[in-house]
Amino acid sequence: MDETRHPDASSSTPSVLNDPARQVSPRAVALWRWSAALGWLVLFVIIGVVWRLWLDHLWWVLPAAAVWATYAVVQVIVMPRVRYRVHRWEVTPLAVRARTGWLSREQRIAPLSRVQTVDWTQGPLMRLFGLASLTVTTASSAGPVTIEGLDRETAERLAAELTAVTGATPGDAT
Amino acid sequence: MIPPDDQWRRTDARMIGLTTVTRLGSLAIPVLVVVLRLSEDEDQTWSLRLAVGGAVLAVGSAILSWHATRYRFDATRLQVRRGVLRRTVLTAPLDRIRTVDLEAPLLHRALGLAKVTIGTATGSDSITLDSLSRAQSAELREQLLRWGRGASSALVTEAATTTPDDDTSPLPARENPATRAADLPAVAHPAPRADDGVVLARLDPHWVRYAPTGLLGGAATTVALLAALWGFARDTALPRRVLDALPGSTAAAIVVVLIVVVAAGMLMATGTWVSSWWGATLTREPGGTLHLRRGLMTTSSTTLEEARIRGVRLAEPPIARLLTGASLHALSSGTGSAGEVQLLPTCPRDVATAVGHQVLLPSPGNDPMTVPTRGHGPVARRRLLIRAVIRAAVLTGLVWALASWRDWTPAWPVIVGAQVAWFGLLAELTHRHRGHALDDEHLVVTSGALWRTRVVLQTRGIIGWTIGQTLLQRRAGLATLTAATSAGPGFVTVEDVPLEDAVALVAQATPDVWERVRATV
Repeated sequence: MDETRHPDASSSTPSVLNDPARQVSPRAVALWRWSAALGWLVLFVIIGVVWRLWLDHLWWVLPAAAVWATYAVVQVIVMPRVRYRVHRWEVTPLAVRARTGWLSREQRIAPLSRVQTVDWTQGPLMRLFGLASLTVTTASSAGPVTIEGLDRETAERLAAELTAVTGATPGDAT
Repeated sequence: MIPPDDQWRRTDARMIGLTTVTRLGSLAIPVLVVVLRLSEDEDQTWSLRLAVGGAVLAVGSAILSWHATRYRFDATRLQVRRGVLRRTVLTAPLDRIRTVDLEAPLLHRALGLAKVTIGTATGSDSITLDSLSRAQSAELREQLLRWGRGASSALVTEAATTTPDDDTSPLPARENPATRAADLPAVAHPAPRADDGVVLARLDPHWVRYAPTGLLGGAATTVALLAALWGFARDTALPRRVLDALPGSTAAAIVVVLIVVVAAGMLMATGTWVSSWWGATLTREPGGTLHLRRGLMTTSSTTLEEARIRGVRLAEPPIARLLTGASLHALSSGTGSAGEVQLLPTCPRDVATAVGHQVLLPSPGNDPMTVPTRGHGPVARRRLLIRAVIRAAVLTGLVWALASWRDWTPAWPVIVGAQVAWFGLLAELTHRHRGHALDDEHLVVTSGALWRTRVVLQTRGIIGWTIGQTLLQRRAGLATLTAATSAGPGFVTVEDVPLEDAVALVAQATPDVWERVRATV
């Protein structure tokens, strides 16, 4: 129910690549917002403590931190929505494909015949939102395909399906 | 011939002597230190006892470890047993054996021995048998590779048929006679010896002219050595004498030092080249393996399963390129350091491309080793030039900071001009050589400015794609395309390729995957 088709919700850049068919759960927007916000918060608390304890003679730290914080706020507001629009995925009978990123973008394709492992994981924050991420690796150090922000049932079902497909592939998939 | 009959065998008894010598060698320095310390106490008997004890220990442990080390193999597995107090038995299924490499360092060679290293597909652990006689090790290699293939593809039963000279050896109890009878036609000839096969390349002594071109590495070592020597001998009279021997003017002194460093670098590079590559022979053996034998002092023998080769890399280092020299490397999954095995040292480029062609065996009409590659266009070039200007600006900034700190007044036009020219030249060279090509079996990627490379990857070896675009690349319509593979470094990258070209490459190189990707939307 969460992964709906949005053929028009493509990225702002015209692309030669067609969009992967499916989106992740809309709850992923909140997940990304909160994880970004918490990450920034921890960082700024550390910077604040270090500045207060040892570096308070450096006058330029405060304005620099202010500029940085502005960027952080903008990122927390803008990034999750853009990321949600960009982050699309699909599993065809022959390949798994995912597009990620927000400013920089990346599209990864792994043929199912070459898949080595299929994992799904749930971090603490993800568990809070009932989401999970799925990682499909091949026998290469480059290019594991990760789909982040799937709702838990989809991730589990997909992992089971992909495992079944790869188990049926003969050879060692290298 | 070693019959695969499940008997425990020992390594060569000459190993006792060799182990003793190496153990005594490694003991020599600590013993010497202790002896020198003790002799201050004027008690000579102690040092004598210590020396005798050390020798007895060395010989005794050598005999024990030789006695404890045994190996055996039958139709399905190889076992190596070792350890005196803690006995371990390593077992490798024959169908998992990927490589059997022989190596004979100088001492081994003098005694006619060779170390056998057996690599399996199960991980990084390899099994070493140190050492067998040269003939024994060559035969073991032959047997293991043949039996491994036999076990992995149920068809090959070559080794099951007896040849006239091994009638006495027991027949391996291996598979039922029915299957054996079925594939008999394969084998009426005696077991192929290690030197059988088609020779793809043999080192020509004239190629030694390319050896000194590796001088950059040698020169770096020389500089490091000189620096270490300087640190070591700075308090002696040596530096004074060296400085006196140098010409008076700074410019002349720099020239002399440069000449010395370059000459030493050339000498070292030549030494390395000759000692590792002398007598190199690359053969294609029946049964689908490439066999590389090489080395002057230490001889080594490397086997590559052809089914695991995914491509080759042609490398053209800067100075060798002036003589049109190049080296050749095989990209293979699960072997060598970083998945690469060097097949040829720096040698004539034509030879390297011809051998690369032989290794890849492309279908007629495909010539991935020499096919011209398609460049990445003016936008990609502009990006390279902008990056060059940024680099020059950053470096100029650093020089400026240094100059204002040390109160120098350098000739700014010269410095800035030289930097822009240098980085601009590198950018232009990168652009000229950078490109990609595709035939129906291979993806070809050329890159590099001074160190040029051409990577040829078989498209069947591509196990995934990544098309990445940074913000700036998106504005420029360019992308970074990465083809993932299980061989070599694990990926091949095409930098700043126009997005349309990247998509076309993906679509044409792996059409089956791509068609379905398109069809679903």
